Amino acid sequence: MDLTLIVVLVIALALFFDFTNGFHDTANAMATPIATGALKPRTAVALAAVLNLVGAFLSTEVAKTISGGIIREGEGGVRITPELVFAGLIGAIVWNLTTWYFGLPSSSSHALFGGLIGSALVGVGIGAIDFGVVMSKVILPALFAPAIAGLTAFTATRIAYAITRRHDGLPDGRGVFRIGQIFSSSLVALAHGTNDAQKTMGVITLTLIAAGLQESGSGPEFWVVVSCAFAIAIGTYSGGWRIIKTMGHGLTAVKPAQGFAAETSTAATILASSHLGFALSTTQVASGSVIGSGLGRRGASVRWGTARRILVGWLLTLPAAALVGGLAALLALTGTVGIVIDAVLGVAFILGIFVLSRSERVDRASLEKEVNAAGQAVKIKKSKSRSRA
Amino acid sequence: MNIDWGALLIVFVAAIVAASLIVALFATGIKLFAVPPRDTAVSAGASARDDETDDVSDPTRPASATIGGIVFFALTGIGILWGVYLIIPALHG
Repeated sequence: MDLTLIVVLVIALALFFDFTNGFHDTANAMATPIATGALKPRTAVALAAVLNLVGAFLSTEVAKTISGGIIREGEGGVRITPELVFAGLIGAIVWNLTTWYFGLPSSSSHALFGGLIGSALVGVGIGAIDFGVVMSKVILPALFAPAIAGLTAFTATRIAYAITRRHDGLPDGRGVFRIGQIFSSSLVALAHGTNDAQKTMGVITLTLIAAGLQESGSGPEFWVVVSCAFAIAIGTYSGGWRIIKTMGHGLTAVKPAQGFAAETSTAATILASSHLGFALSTTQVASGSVIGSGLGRRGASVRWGTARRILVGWLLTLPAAALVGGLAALLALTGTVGIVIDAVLGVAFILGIFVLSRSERVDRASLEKEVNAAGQAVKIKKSKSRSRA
Repeated sequence: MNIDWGALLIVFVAAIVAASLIVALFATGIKLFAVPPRDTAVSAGASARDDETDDVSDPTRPASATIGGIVFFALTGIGILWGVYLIIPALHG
């Protein structure tokens, strides 16, 4: 196998994965401001894209290992070949696009871990996986992230409503929370940019090092930083509208005060966890915050059916991406022909899901219509009840 | 498997305290801007309102409430800037 061909393929796939990562995660920061009308959908995704771009340049400290310790890599451990990374990326991309198609927010890092686990299982064997690390870095955080964020958002929402409540029936100015939302959601988008682009930079850099094209222990090349930053920003700007719809409307009807509380909770939870060495998934934190804020507002209801669907998606992420990654590795390890078949199947899947998604399009225009309709329904109902009283 | 339960608890406490504080500051700012009972504004025909989304702009608000509101909004801004500081590694080493 020509080493440079596989390296080029890994870089291309890694950048596409980065794109799906941005695409998937626009909703984490921007679903709630779009839902409350704090930001127009197009403005929101543009803002998120710029902040992701800036964020990617702000922090270029790249991970020492591709899998963050889940696979026993490094000195005396398993050598993750570019073929295995390639297969793992296919697993991650396939799962990311599948969850996007169903409008499910799910963690891109977990999809990448899953894909790598699958390819390492096939390529190296069960001994390659450190299941203790899988438990402590993937499974348990997946339980804690939404719980911590949910409780935080619940409390923050309660506080927001308690402070601004007035008993004389006069306007309480909660619409002003919309202005706050612009800042709180920007904070989430910036934090996302400093975290997630780094993962792809790490994958590319470590692959270049493994291929002997870059010195061991050196940081990412400038072109790697630039291309990763733009890949995630373009992905973010493309806006995963299906997931934005789920997060902004599917879980609960979000009001400005809730939106501000939810975004602030997401930002606070992510910052606290990343500074104390407990990397929590942005997606899981943001989903938990939205649910928590829905529970915190009187009269709001949470659609547990949607929440359950999301949870099932999270549970499936690791095994599903691992399955695809493993199958891809089976092919990739047979040699050049297998890798080419992998690449062709991968591209076919990507095109297929885009074609499939066109039949029931969710985009900026359809979402805007929905936001306006919801806004009107709420207003009509409210003013009627008031005039009767 | 090693879970640092202490660190996890600190994450939880830090998140809940920080988020509550920022939300409370901003909400207080809003509350202060909404201070006057504003019978005048209501009798002027602004009765049908959506209390979730209505903006407050009232000329009869006392100056103390306006200043207080601005102070609380500014404090929220500091909180958000602190978040930016935490996000950018170059700033805190």
